[in-house]
Amino acid sequence: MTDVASLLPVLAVAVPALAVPPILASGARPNLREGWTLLAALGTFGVVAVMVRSPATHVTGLGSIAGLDLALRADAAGLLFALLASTLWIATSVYSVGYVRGLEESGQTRYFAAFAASIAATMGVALAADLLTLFVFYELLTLATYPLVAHAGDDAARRSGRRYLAYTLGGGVLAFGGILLVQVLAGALAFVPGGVGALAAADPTLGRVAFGLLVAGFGVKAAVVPLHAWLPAAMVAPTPVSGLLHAVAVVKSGAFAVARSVLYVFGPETAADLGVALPLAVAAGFTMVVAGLIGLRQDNLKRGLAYSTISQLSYIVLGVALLTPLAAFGALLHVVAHAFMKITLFFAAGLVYVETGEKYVSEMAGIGRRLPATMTAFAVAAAGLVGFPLVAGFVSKFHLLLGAAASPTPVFVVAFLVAGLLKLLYFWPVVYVAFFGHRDGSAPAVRHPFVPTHDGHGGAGPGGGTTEVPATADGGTVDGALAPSGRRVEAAPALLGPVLFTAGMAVVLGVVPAELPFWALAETAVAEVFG
Amino acid sequence: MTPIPTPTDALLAVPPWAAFLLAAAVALVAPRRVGYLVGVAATALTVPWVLFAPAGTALVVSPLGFEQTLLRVDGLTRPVAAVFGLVAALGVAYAYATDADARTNAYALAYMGVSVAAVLAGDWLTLLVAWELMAVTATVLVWHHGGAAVRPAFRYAVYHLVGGALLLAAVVLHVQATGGFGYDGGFAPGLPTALAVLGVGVNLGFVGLHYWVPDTYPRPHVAASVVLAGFTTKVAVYALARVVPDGHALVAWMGGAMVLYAVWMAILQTDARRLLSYHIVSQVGYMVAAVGIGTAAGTAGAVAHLSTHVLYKGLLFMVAGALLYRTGTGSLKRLGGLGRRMPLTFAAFLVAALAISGVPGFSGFVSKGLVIEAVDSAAPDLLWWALVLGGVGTVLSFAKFGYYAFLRPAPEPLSVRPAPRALTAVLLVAAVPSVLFGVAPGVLYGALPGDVGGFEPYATSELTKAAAVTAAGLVGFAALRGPLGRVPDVDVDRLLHPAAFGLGRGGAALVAGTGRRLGAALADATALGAAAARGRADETRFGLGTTLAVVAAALAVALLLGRLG
Repeated sequence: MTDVASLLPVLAVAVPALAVPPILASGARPNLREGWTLLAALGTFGVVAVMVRSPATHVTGLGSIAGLDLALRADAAGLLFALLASTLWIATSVYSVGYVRGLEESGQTRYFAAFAASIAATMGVALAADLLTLFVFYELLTLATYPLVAHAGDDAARRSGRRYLAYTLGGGVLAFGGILLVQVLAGALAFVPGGVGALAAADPTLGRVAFGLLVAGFGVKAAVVPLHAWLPAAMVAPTPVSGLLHAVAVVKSGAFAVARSVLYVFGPETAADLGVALPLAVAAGFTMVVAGLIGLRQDNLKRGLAYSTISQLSYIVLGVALLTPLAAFGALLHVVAHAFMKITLFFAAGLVYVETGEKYVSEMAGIGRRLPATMTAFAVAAAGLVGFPLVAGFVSKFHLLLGAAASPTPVFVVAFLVAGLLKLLYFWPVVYVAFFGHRDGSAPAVRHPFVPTHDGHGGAGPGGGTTEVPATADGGTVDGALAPSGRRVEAAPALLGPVLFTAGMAVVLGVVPAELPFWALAETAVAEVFG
Repeated sequence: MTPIPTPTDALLAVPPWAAFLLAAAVALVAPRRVGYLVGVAATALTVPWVLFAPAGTALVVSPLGFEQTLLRVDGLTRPVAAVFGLVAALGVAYAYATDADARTNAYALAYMGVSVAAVLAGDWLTLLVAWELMAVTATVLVWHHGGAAVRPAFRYAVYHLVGGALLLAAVVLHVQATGGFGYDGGFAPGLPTALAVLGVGVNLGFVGLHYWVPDTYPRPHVAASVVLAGFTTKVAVYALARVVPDGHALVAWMGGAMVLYAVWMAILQTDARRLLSYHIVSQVGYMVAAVGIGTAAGTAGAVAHLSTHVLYKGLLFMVAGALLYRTGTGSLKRLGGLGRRMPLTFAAFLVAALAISGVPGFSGFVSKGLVIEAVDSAAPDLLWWALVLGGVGTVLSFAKFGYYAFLRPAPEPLSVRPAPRALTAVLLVAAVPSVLFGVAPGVLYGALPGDVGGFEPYATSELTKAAAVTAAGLVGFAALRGPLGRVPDVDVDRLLHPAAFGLGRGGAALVAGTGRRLGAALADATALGAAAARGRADETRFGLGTTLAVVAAALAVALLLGRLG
């Protein structure tokens, strides 16, 4: 893979960024404004696709600050993340249109502009060639996403936004400390597959401090416990924001940056020698289980999804920390698999909110009859998160398990399996309450066994149904809003299309994962790092 | 010279379970009748397919990055897959006859298809994938019935995810130890085998892990019960034979425990389908014991008993389903006098009951005899006694079933719907194999792996044993009928389920509460909370300032240490 000087990497960052002014300018004409967004999304995808297909590695120099070079380099791992983000931006843009219009949200122009800016920053994080460039775009991502988190404008949104800033900027400071230390120790910040050689020769104590600062700093966005608290709070944001940014761009930036630090700055051998990978693995394993447990109690569906994201991100961090090729491959695949599955879940949750106004699990009885395609996509994505085959999550999880078994600490296999069980305990009742529950409480299955109902709302009516309830539901007007003609009305196409697309992709990634470019990109990255 | 491929080689190009899955898709979209017709045809075709396909492996693919063998036909997979095809066709026909809807048909076909895929798998990864898919499809099949079936199906899903996770851990450790997913040679010894036996044990119904069987099987549509009864536990028996091909003493003893415990629980039941569900666990215990002793005769006995059991247990569930379908109740407390009003159903019941009880002339006698003989020659007497006592208990409990449902007068008047012709036809057809294998055991024995060691099922000693067991069971029923009615029906779920549920709920509450308290303490300690309470925006500044100070201090300390070190 030869390096080739090219404009494509900076173009991938510039196209979304250049979309911001036109979006702001066409605020009065929503269709034109949405057109700019979609054009930019397709353009970004195109640029990334060209780089993926090209046999060379594209590099753009971006000048230098204080003698330190900034550059973008589209290597395999970076392209994997960039391709993922650009693909999902297209789906999210379509979905956003349906969502904000369906809810008649205010500030739509600011929303779409901030979205484009966030994607530009994400592309920068993905394609950064060194720690400094990554850091610059990482902080720009925080700033660009703040208006989206605080979009609702009320007190809760502003509080969550401030908390988000406090955590992520604080994390940024820690990471910057780590970057400075790496520069002092190694004299270079560029990513090298397998690690920067000079770090192996540096002082071990300082090396450990640098590792700790980097990982703690980036670990905020990667939502490693105890740095995770911003994520559930950020769920006040509109659902497409939660979906793309907090299931894909922001949190994956954190996990991606951790992966870069472990595999491309320190490298597997140095990390093993310094003994820093095991504490990181323990923290990730702990996060997986703890987040899964806390998530069991979430009545607000989006918060439940947030805790599930925290748990699943640690699959990636743990995979990286295990320092085996199979585990790293599984981690990179999981970046992709989780993104598609989680965004499906968020899209579905948002769709439910738009179409029925429901956001609490305890009030979603019978939703599956009202929105069958949506909840089926939800069920499929949830099954993938648990780790059932034929959906993407099984493939990445299986590789992670094999990688854990091959590592010096196979006990982490248990962490993955327990986390999967906790997902089942949360999601399966959501699915069966949606499909088989009845709002009038006539069936005993209407309550989630683990979720306490949120304050102010009692549970469903008295339980204790009869023993032989007929199989077909009555589907009467009590359960869901039927159209006057009596037929069930599924969701608006702009909302449903993206849900089905991402769910379908999750299945494709589960059945023939090697057919999609992500597989080859992950293989190349792992081969580069582990030699 | 390359050998000219024979026509039968073409059979290895497409697995029969593809037909099941295709039929399931058809059932989802086509009218009900078409779906059922296609379903019966697709499933029935499995039988000749499997019997004529040449031995070997085929369909080597690597979709997940590992070499997998989707198809393996050998002495062990052939008879199991064949009997699965037969019982699947019977199950689909029964579903049609009892007014099950098109969705039930589709879910049942999907479930049966992945079960056949599990048996025909040629490596652990393919088996694992099929295993997990079996759990999902069975959950959906039970869920579909709605109402009181929904929660039990969730519990089923939890049990099977735990079992699947154990098996997954075992496979992963096995691959690490041996480098491949291949079957031959069983599992890597030690932890991988232990985990695999436990994981398979959930699906088998090991005592303590078994409650999902009586919890779930009686709940859904009667046809779904028939379908469920035939597959999961039998796939697990097959998998057990692969995990421990040379057997294991603990496994054999667990089999004995299953036989006794489950037959005891069955005797106490008053719901027909729950009684039959416990009997599944009991009869699977015979198979587990036979696999556990590890001899060739044991494996042959396990497969024989698996085959006959699938057929007569399916017939029993069909009978129980027919009772429910035509009278509206499945409770032995309310049924009665149906011997005269439902004579053909009674006849079918008799065939199945005599088969499961091991009465000469019926299939169960032939297969159970093989198992007990294999155990006799290779295991301690205690295990043999356990199996024989289990037989007595079986006779007792079916005497109970037969008496209450068919012989004694009903306590209250029962209305009996007329039998649909299709239902009667299916019952009679399903009864045939249980008689056929009984009177012509060679047909069964010829299809088994290994040899039966010259076992003569109709030797005088065997007939005497059977007579003694049957007599003891009948006498036992007559004597204990009254007292048994007063023993409470209490199983492990009374302890296990609340404990598990409490653990989950309590664990989550504990963790969430601790997190909240820690967060509050931290906020108080850094006065962040005070700032937030004032509602000012200096939270950000404060946080940044603190972090900067901390980082600067840490860097300074580290550099100092570096200088000193």
